[in-house]
This record gives sequence, structure tokens and C-alpha cells, in this order.
Amino acid sequence: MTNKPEKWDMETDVLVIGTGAAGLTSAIVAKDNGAAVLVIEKSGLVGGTTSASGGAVWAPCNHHMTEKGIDDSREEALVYCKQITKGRVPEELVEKYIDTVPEMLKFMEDTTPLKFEVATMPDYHPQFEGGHDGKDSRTLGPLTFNKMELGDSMAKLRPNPTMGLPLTFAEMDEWDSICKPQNVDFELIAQRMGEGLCGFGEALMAALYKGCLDRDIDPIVNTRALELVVDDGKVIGIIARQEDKEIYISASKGVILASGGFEWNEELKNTFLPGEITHPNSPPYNEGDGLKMAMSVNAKLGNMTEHWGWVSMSIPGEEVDGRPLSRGSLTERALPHVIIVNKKGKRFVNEAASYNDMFKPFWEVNENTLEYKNLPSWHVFDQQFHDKYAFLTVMPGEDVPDYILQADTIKELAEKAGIDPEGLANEVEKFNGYVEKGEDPDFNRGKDVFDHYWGDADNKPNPSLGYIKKPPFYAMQNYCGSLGTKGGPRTSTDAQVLHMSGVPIPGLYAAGNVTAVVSGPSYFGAGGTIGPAMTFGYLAARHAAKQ
Amino acid sequence: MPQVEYKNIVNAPMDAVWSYVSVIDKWAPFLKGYVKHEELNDKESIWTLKGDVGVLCRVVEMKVNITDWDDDAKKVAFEIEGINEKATGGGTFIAVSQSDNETELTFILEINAGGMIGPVVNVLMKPMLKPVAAEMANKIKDAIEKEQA
Ligand SMILES: Cc1cc2nc3c(=O)[nH]c(=O)nc-3n(C[C@H](O)[C@H](O)[C@H](O)COP(=O)(O)OP(=O)(O)OC[C@H]3O[C@@H](n4cnc5c(N)ncnc54)[C@H](O)[C@@H]3O)c2cc1C
Repeated sequence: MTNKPEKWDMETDVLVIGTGAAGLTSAIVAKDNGAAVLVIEKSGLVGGTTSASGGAVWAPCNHHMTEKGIDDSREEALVYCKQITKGRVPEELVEKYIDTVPEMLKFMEDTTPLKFEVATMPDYHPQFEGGHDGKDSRTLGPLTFNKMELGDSMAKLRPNPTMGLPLTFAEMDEWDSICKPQNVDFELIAQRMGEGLCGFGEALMAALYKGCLDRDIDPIVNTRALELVVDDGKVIGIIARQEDKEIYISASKGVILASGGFEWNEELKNTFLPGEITHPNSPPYNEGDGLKMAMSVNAKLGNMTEHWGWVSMSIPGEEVDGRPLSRGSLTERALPHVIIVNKKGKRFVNEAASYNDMFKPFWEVNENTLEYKNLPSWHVFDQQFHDKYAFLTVMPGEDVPDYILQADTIKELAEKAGIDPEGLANEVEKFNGYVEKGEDPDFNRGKDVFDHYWGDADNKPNPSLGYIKKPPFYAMQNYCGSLGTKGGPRTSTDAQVLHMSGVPIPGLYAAGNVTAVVSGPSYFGAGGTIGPAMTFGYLAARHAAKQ
Repeated sequence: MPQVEYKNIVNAPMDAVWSYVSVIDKWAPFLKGYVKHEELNDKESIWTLKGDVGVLCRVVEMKVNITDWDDDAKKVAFEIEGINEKATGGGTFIAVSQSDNETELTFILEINAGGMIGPVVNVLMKPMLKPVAAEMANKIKDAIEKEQA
């Protein structure tokens, strides 16, 4: 059977679907390996979720670590990763990642304007065997990039709504910006913005985009891949929609799916996920189109119940891409003087743990009522927090907007929020007892190096634990956010999509959040999604270009 | 402080221009992102706008206070103070007759974001002011000319 058209509208060797980290990395690499390349993008802008991200890349044994004299080894990294993947990811895939990410980074830095430096972020479970803490970090952060270098194409770059400042992770550390936002030099940032500089995920994508433009690859935007064209069991192209017309694009060497997850598709979420994602943090174009195309050719699926969890909040009236903007909670939940509670007023998680893993209890269900045990839930903090730290866009000491509930007593606050007042008062009292001792026997908050990174070193004895006792008290409701889903077609070590039978489907590749990702249920460290997206994009492109 | 000045020649006599500009309700919806406004008294009103700051769209409430309403000089000056966002600013409309049927309408607007991140917000707002002022001034011109036709 074939759905091959009589005539193709466009023809190429390698067709890349999507313009995030996975997509543009594969476009660049395919071209440099001799293939003609076309890239299509569903939205009007280039960059995907990656552009809206922190842009960090998790890369054991990378050359920047070596240059800084940081020790790492393949064996250490493997031991660490296996504890993260919990036996749910084929070992050869993890090995391939660890073996290839340093080479991929070196290649990208040598051949494009993309540049990184070592950050000081610990792995997300640094206490695991083989884990690294912030002193010997495996996380790289992108350097700032001047968008003016993109010329007219600058307008086609997706801006970053929450992490768009032209800064580096190193500067954030230097200013101790997590605990002391007042140290941040906003005048300097404003000056850099005026000059056209961008940072984080936007810098990463701007640099990759420039790498594409330098190779005469300019993604065709507003073009949505819909269907694979298959001939005699081989994927030879796609059908895409541009406005109201359908176009056929052939790809003689391969189609690379790099179209992100399905966090914006209600039907797919209901089908595969065991809980709700009401507030995705990605741009709203990741609707599982790549997954559906892979399913149409009987791809073997994996990791379908997982996503990159991110507990989030929403400021009323704030929108991006015509949808409410979902802002993740990072420092808001991990600094002292704040807890997260459910409607009974009870804590249920180590608030300072990694966002992916601390998300898991949000989907716990009560076996009798079938209601979520921990939804709705709230951040509850006191004036000491507000005196010292930023909460969302509210800087220390500034007027607290109405959307953050406030009250003079804990019970009054609970009543306003709809939390059990007695329960919350008791929990706060218990928590304050833990603060006194500097230990959280319920959830071990502040015990590990990871928690300390997001805490306040000046807060003794435990950088994550601070009393909640100075009125007024504040509460803000949480929602189930997500950086993206991370289940999809299983892939070979060359990023070929595998058929249900286990053999590669000729002509079809996938990388990034469209796939069953290499970290399985958990998260290696900051950059643990973009690192694999780029690495498997690199592998896909090299393999496809050789066909 | 981001500031913009936009001049327009309206093909209408000055009195017609002035009487149009004097009725805020007529042109308020021409302001990009306009949601509503509520007059508290002769001078003060509360405006709700849904506007872009960089890539973000936010709902902003601000108080507008008319500081100078000069029928002779055909000039209105006002101050702006953010209610839910830290921002201050002001603006002026001036109508100057060019001929019997031509009036120059000048619109000046300046706005300054406050707070710690004010400098950053100002950079984001700067490129947006000019198109906002231009769009509003052009719509006012069109509306007046249509009334005259
Ligand atoms: C605020 C935030 C911070 C983050 N920080 C980090 C970080 O520092 N490090 C890290 O590793 N991860 C981070 N993440 C997660 C990371 O951004 C994503 O996991 C990663 O960018 C996914 O890359 P991707 O290339 O697979 O997909 P995306 O970047 O989402 O790109 C997919 C692209 O495909 C397009 N597309 C979808 N369907 C189609 C179709 N049918 N046809 C054509 N195009 C299509 C989409 O429009 C999109 O442009 C963060 C995420 C967020 C939201």
C-alpha cells in the first residue's frame, strides 16, 4: 500500500519536522553530512519549547568540564543514569547518550555560533552513586547571543516569556540571584536587551537558527506535518498543511520527527497520562502530531505515562500565544519560609526536590473518593519570605498583588483559600518545630545538596527551612504544569523509530520530547531534556544523511 | 523613560477635532488593548488595558488624572499611575489649526515602569509605544474625518 502522490510539491533528502533543539540540531548535522535539508514548523515562529526554556544541557564528560579540570567518567555517569532510569530504558540507549553528548556538543560549538559554559547546578539526585554536585556540575548553560545576527529573521525567533533575560547561569550565581534578587543588575540587563542580546533557551535557539541560516536552511513556518507518506514499508515523505492547502514533501533519505510532546492534546493526555496537565508551560503547538504519525506506522511506544512535571502558577490576565501563561515554581517553593499544602492543610512532598520528581505526588488519587489527594494545593508563605525573596514577578518588599491571597493569621488565610484552617494551623506549627531543629523528618527537605542549591545559604541551620510565623501570611494556588510529555515512539541508538516488532522503520527518525526519552520516568539534571534532544537529533541526522 | 510623540494632520476644522477629542468615550476604544474605562469624576478615570509587554500579554489597570484641560490652547494633559503594575507616566493631546479645514493633532505619551525590574520592562515597552500611538492617532483622524464627511 502507498499514499505516494503523483507529484511532490517539494523534494529534499532529509525533512525535519519541528524547530526546537532536536529539530534544528538535526537540520544542521544532516546538511553538514551532505544532505539537502528542509525544515517545517507548525507555528509562525522558530524555536519551540526550547526557545522558551532555560537552555541548559546535561552532558557528562563534556569538554568544558575537562577544560575546567572537573573529573567525570563514562562509568560514573552510567551508574548514575541507571538509578534514574530505573530499568525502564534500554541500557544501550543510555550508553549511546553518554558516549555521544560530548561529541555532539563539540561539533555544534565548532560549527555554529552556539557556545556554552559550565554551570554550578547539581545533578537532580547528586546523592546517588555517580551523581555530581554543583562544584563538578555536568550542566552547561548557553552564553548570551545577539539576535541582531539573525538579520530580518530575528522576527521569526520565538521569544522566551519567562526566562528571556540576556544573562548566563554563571552571572545568576555570581549575583546569588536565587536568594538575593535585589543583587541582579537590571540596568545592565536592560542595556543588553537594547543591544539585541538574549539569553537561556532563546540564546540557544537563536544560535542554532543562525547555524541553519548560515547553511541556507530557513524553516518553513506555518506548515503542519499531518501524515507520513509510506511506500513499500518505507517512509518517503509527508503530507503537510499550509493554511487550507495540503502539500506533499518527499524526503529521500529520511523524515525526522522533532515535533515535541502531546501536552496540548486533551485526547492523547486522557489516553496515556495517569493524571491531569492543566497548565502546560510549552507553546501550545505540541499536540502530539509526531506521536500520531509514528502510531500510524505501528511504532513501538514507550514511557507514555510520563511527562516533565513542573508545578506551576498562573498570574490572572497574563497570556502568551493567546493562552494563559503558566509560570513554574522553582525558587518559590524551595526557599525558606514557604511550604506547599493540600486542601487538608497538609504538606505532602519535599518542596525543594527536583521539579520532575516532586511533581509525582500531585497525581496521587484517594482510593475511596477517586479525587486527587493533593489537588488543589497551595504555596503558603509568610512576610519573611516576601521581605527577602521574589515570588513570581513580585520582588521583595513590593506591594503584594490581589491574586496572592493574604491574611493576618494562618487560619484566616486558610479560610480565604479553601484550605482546612485547623489542618493548616497544625501543619505550620509542626513545620516550625522542624525549622527549629533544622530537620524535616516528614520529607527530608533541605537534607541533600540539591535542595541546598535552591535554598538560602545564609539561612541556618538548614538552607531550605524557615519559620512561617511573621504576618501577613500569603497563599497562591498551584496547577499541574508540564515542560512537555516524554513518551512516544521508541528509537534505536541511531534514533530510528522502531516498529512494534522491534526493527527500525525505514526512513523514519525521531528525537526530543516526541520520543520515549532516554531518562525514562525521572530527570538526570538541569539540561536533561535538551541534552538528549540535541544528541539524538545529531544521531538521527548523521544516520539519515548516509542513506 | 519610553516616550513617543505622534503628529497627524486631520482634514477637519480645529473645533471639530477639539470637540471630538474632548469626549474621551469616543476615542478610548481606539487605544490598543483597551478593555474598559470608568470615570470617577471630571478629572479622574480608571482604565483597564490588555497589553503586550515583550512577548507577554498582561492586563493592566491604571488611573488617569487630567491635569490640564485648556479649551483656549486646545490642549489636554494627563498623568498616569499604574494600579496593579508599578508604572507612572503622562501624556498630552494638542490641536493646532493649520487651515480652515486642516488641524494638526499631536499626541505625546510617556510611560515609566517602576520597581526593581522597571529598567527591563521599559526596554520591552519602548518599541511598542510608537505603533500604539500611531494606530490610535490614525483611528482618531479617520473617525473625525468620517464624521465630517
Ligand atoms: C520554562 C521552561 C524551562 C525549561 N528549561 C529547560 C532547561 O534549562 N534544560 C532542559 O533540558 N529542558 C528545559 N525545559 C524543557 C525543554 O524546553 C523541552 O523539553 C525541550 O525544549 C524539547 O525540545 P524538542 O526539540 O523536543 O521540542 P520543542 O522545543 O517543543 O520543539 C518542537 C517544535 O515542533 C513544532 N511542531 C509541533 N507539531 C508540529 C507539526 N505537526 N509540524 C511541524 N512542526 C510541529 C512545535 O511548534 C515546536 O516548535 C524547559 C521548559 C520550559 C517550558
